[in-house]
Amino acid sequence: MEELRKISVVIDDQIYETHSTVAFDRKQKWKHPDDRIIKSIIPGTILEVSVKKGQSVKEGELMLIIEAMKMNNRLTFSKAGIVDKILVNPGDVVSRGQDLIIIK
Amino acid sequence: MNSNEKLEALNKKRQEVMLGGGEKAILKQKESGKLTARERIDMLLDLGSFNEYDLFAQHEAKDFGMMEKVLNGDGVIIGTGTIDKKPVCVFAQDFTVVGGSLGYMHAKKITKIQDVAMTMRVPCIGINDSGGARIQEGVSSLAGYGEIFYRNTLASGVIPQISVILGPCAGGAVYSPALTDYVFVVDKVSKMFITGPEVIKTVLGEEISQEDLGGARVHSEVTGNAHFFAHDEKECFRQIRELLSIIPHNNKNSAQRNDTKSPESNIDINNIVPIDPSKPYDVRNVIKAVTDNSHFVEVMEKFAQNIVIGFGRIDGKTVGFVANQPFYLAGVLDVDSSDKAARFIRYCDAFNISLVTLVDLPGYLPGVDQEHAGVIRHGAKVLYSYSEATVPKITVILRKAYGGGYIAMSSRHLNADFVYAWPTAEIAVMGPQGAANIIFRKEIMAAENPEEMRKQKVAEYKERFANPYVAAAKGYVDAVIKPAETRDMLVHALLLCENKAEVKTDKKHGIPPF
Repeated sequence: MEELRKISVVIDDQIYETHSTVAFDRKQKWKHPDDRIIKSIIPGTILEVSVKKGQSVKEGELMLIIEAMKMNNRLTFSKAGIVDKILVNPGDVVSRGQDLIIIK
Repeated sequence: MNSNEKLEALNKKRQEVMLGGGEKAILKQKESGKLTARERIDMLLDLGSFNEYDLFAQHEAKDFGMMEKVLNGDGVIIGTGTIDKKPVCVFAQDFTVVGGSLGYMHAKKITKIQDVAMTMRVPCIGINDSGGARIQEGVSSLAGYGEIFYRNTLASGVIPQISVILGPCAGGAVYSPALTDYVFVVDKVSKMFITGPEVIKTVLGEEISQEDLGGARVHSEVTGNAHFFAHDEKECFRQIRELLSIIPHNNKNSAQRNDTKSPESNIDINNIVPIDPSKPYDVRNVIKAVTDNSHFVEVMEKFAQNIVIGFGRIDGKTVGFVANQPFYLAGVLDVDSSDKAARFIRYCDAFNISLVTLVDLPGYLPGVDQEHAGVIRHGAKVLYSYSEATVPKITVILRKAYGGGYIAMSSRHLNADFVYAWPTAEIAVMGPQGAANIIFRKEIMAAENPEEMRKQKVAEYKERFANPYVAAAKGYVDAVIKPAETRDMLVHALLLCENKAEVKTDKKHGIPPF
């Protein structure tokens, strides 16, 4: 048994002495999603940013176009707000989960 | 030509083709730390037992200058041989021939040997070492993959299918191994992924090595795609031979029955499990205390280590073990351990291998990651597999069997044939701490010294419920046994189960929570 790491696991108020596994050590702590931050749902390249900072936007309005998997994907706003920050420019390569735009 | 000359011509022709991609390519293969396809087959099979077919196969591709290209064996070797004198079918992709790329004839050869394996009801072993689809052959190459996958699926549960990843196995090619029963990988040699590092770098700008993305360790420890991990190819072939010595070679015959041998005498089954339910131990020692020769062939040793699965013999007969492993993550059921156990249970059921379940778990792993990863769906696989299995099911509750975990681990309620419990067993709706905190909440809160009261109530609950006798009183446990009696009880139960009536239903197939 290699790379042993002692941990304790609490189940129904009982503390168990045990050891971790590689996969267990890789897990990330869950964070409450912030719905003002719009993240990329897919890795790809930004083709166009269709809004400007300070602009007020409606639900369903085009936010940006991201090229991914040989498709031009149109991302729209899922709720109305004012564009607070634009974190990407056309030509940027973004990964899944990367912050794109912040609204308020 | 006279007959001698004809023989000479055949020899020459054979020698030419058997050189695969030629001496230069063979040298390159060796320099990259790999054996050649022919060396691999020789190492896997009984000495001199290999009979090759379709040695002179040629592709019929025309486009992109393929017409002029002669590819020896079309990059794959197929044939039959024996392992411990029992017949098996084999194919081995030859990386020295255009990177072992899969064209239509290459695939035809593989499906031919798959068909032989299926018709003759013998195991099929595939050695994968290929750069992927032969792009020049276009959609024909895709057709080839599809025809292999189709046969993998039809053969599933009829004959053992083994995939050995000894080189790259990328893109669609990964799905044949994924459909087979056992995937063997070798450290630093095996590479498996759908999209490789180059694509990931181009699309995402993320740099990762082949090893970190889909190397042997990753698939053994993180993804669960691999079932056996070896440090070199020699060890890998030894593992395959060992596995084939203990499993049945088709779904109608049982595994070879060996002479009964006692477990090793130096293992004291009375002193493996600590009485304190919060203390860890290695459950594999319990398995070794009951199997013939203390021999245990563990499957998926490094993945979801909180559950142990594998094969051993009891009274000469092959048995599939499923055991919670308190040494890791307290032996909980979680997404990965449920998935691992469920597939193994179905494997044993398909091949008529009796199941022995050793229970010691506090329940399911709490956590957002688990809930969001679908622990409900994955956990349900365990319930489904045990309930569906008609092979003999014998359960031994060693220590904790709390709540949903108790039900899931081959309980009487899922139609286990025999359920035994050790005196250290605690079969209860939950652990004493949690139960006391809920049931006696008001008393504890109202007490002058709540901590003192809590301790007292936990002790009370423990005394009354943390034992095997409540379940035994209801007939959920057939017998409370001493640890030292375990092997004899298992021997007897397996004997009783030998002619277990098969329950047939008229349904086509169920819909397990995949």
